[in-house]
Amino acid sequence: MLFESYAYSNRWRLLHPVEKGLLSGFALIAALVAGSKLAALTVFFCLAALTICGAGIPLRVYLRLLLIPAGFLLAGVASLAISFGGGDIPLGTLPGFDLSVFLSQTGLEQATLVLARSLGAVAALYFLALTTPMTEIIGLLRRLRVPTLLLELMVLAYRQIFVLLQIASEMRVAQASRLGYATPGNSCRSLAALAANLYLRVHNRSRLLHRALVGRGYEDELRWLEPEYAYSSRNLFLITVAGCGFLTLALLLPV
Amino acid sequence: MQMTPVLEVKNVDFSYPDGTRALQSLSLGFARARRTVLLGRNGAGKSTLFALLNGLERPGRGEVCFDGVPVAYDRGSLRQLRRRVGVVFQDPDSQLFSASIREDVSFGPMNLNLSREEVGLRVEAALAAVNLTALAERPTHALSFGEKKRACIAGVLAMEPEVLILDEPNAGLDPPMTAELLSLLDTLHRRRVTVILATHDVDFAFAWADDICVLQEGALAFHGVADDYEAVGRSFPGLGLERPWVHEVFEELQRKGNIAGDRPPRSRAELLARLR
Repeated sequence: MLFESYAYSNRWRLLHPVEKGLLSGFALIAALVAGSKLAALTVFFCLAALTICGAGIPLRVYLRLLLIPAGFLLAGVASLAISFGGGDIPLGTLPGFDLSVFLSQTGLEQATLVLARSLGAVAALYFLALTTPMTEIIGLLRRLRVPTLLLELMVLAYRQIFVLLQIASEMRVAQASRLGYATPGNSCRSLAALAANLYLRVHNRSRLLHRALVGRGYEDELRWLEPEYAYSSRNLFLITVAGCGFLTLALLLPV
Repeated sequence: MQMTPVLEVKNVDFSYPDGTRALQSLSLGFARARRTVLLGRNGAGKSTLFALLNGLERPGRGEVCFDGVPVAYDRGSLRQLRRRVGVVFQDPDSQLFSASIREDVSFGPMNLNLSREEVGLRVEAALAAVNLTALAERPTHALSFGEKKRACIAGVLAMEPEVLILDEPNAGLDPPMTAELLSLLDTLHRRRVTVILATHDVDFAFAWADDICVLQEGALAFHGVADDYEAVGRSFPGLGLERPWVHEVFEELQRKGNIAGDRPPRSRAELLARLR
């Protein structure tokens, strides 16, 4: 929900979504193909700086959001760096198993590169997610000719996430107020009942939604008016320069 | 001679697949450009009737007529019907499909194959009519219940229907919002839009409506003009319905000789004005 509120309230909210998408796309590709840690980290710092200083996302919020992928990243990177049975720096043996754990030089190299690339990619995606509301990202994907069916699913799913969350939290409060979560046993039963009920409620909602859409003339395609934004040639120029810069760094900087 | 009703159901039976009989030999016509309130307890068949009037359900027996012509159920005819008859359902969360209010409101007019300019104009006009222009940039889930409800109304208004049907539009609205809704409905009424509205609020019904219908167990139990207070007095107690409080107070005052006229006031304001 944090992404949501900033996507709607940041300073760059009214910039053309294509401009923001383009920059994010350039940065994402550059981060993923970067041959060196330095290039990937440059992408990371540039995009983070743009998000924080340009779009005005508070640094503390940004750091907190970075913690979300941090867990996955560290777990993934650790598994790259550590090897069993042979390597450069011995770390010890697993108690109870006849296995030695090593840190390998190449593994370590690989791990830090992957970490840098991932950070760059995360910053690129966070830039888009924190400056552009989901509905506009979907509009952007429509311009990229993503199949309509997929886009409609995204629109419906995105809206229904919030409906679902609301129903679930209302049900949970109602259960808690009747001591549904007072003991571990109660909690198990309540949670099971909540899940079963939620399914029924959501099913019913989707039926009602379909009926309401049909009542408004739905036949087989969800259509709506896209908001219009003005392109800024200055922005497009800067984005192209920055994008080419990122890609050059990524491809040319020595490992 | 009576004018042809704009919408009419003739001898309609309707049962749900689970066997619940929702409507039984219901015949009821809605006059053009009038304000009709449909009263009835939960399960009396109000929502089912609305679904029939918009072509969302097909009657088991009998027919639905628009402008005197029976509704056909092929694609083209249904599209025509839904362009002219708009329904706002009860629960806003079951109607708003998009996280953007503007997109949601544009859905109906886009389905009418209008030009983009025309759709844009209609969306802005509908948002302005329900006072949502300032909030249209916010995501749907950040709106309050009343705001979402207004967004649903805008979504139907943007299609500019000749008949607007609202299922319990004042449920869950606070008094100022209800007042706003009423002034919007009165504006539509002045533009000769036929408004049909279901509610449980008898006082509201009599303050606003031209015609009153009561449904009971899927059948028509009462159909009259709101000003015919004697007929209401005869029928309502037998139907288990409260009469509007202004009627009861009027009768009491009349018995004591404290109020002039032989017709009850429609609202609190009118009652007070007549007592002064």
